[in-house]
Amino acid sequence: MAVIGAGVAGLAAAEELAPRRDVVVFDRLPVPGGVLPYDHPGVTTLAARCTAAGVRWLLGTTVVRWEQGRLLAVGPQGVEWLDASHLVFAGGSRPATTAELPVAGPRLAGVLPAPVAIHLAEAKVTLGRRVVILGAGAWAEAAREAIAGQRSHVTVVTRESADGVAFGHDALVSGWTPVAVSGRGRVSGLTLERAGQQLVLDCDAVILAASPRPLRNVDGAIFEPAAGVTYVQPAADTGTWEQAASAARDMVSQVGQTEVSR
Amino acid sequence: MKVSSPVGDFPFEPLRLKAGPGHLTLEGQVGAWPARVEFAPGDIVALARAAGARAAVPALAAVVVVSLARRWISHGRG
Repeated sequence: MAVIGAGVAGLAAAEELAPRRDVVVFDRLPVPGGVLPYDHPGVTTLAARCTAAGVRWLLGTTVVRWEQGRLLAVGPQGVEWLDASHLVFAGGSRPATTAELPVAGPRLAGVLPAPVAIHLAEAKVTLGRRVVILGAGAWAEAAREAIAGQRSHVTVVTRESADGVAFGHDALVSGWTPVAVSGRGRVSGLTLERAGQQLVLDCDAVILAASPRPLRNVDGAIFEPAAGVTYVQPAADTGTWEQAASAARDMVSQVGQTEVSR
Repeated sequence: MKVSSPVGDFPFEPLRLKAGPGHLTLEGQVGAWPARVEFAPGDIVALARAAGARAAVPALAAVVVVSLARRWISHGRG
């Protein structure tokens, strides 16, 4: 049985499955953790439990295709087809793209998904001086924290009420829907709408952190349902790592129960 | 050792130090990936310059090691 994703959800799923199946965990990164650091206590705890339960690891390895009964993996060992009776997909989530929100306009520099913005900010790249964050959830909070030292003016835009904004900001625009980005080469404005009214925010960076979607990047397992695939991608923010692990275990509790155990 | 990158932080586990012609190679693992760091004499000097006087002694020691390694290799081949 193959588990794709060595974040908390994938690790917890692997630990749950290990007593009844042979389990191999894949992740494109060379260490477990996913969006958490590899030395996060939750990650080290779950990874140790997996190893103790007999889980095998193929880290630093990207799975690019799933066909029922086998998967195509690319990693340090080369490119190879590997047999797998079932795929557990724990690929995490991503913010909605401009097309999915939908926000119209050309592809502009400075419009970034929150995970990319966070990585750049942590690498000391200044994202902009007038930054707009779309959304108020965990991605938005993480992005805000990442750019905290950049002395940027941060405006948070939410479609709903402002109740969910639990982090610091310089301005808050709630109840407005983003509809378009504008600019020449680089973003210079974000247009919002509410009840037929329009508002244009002057900005040089827009961080997409709204409407989380499941991240799906394995051909053959992108659209749900896919034969032989169980998705471990909770729709909502699951809170602490223990809660995320518990939710993942629940999602795979029935997987492999009716098949011949190892 | 910890290595930071735009896609996250990773551990670097040193496994072997090898002397090559004109450089030292530190071989190790970044998680599941094999990795290596090559030091030429100029890198040691640059490291010492970046770190200031505090690094002068270990940097000098490293230069000596590289020089000895080069001499050892050239004698070994001769």
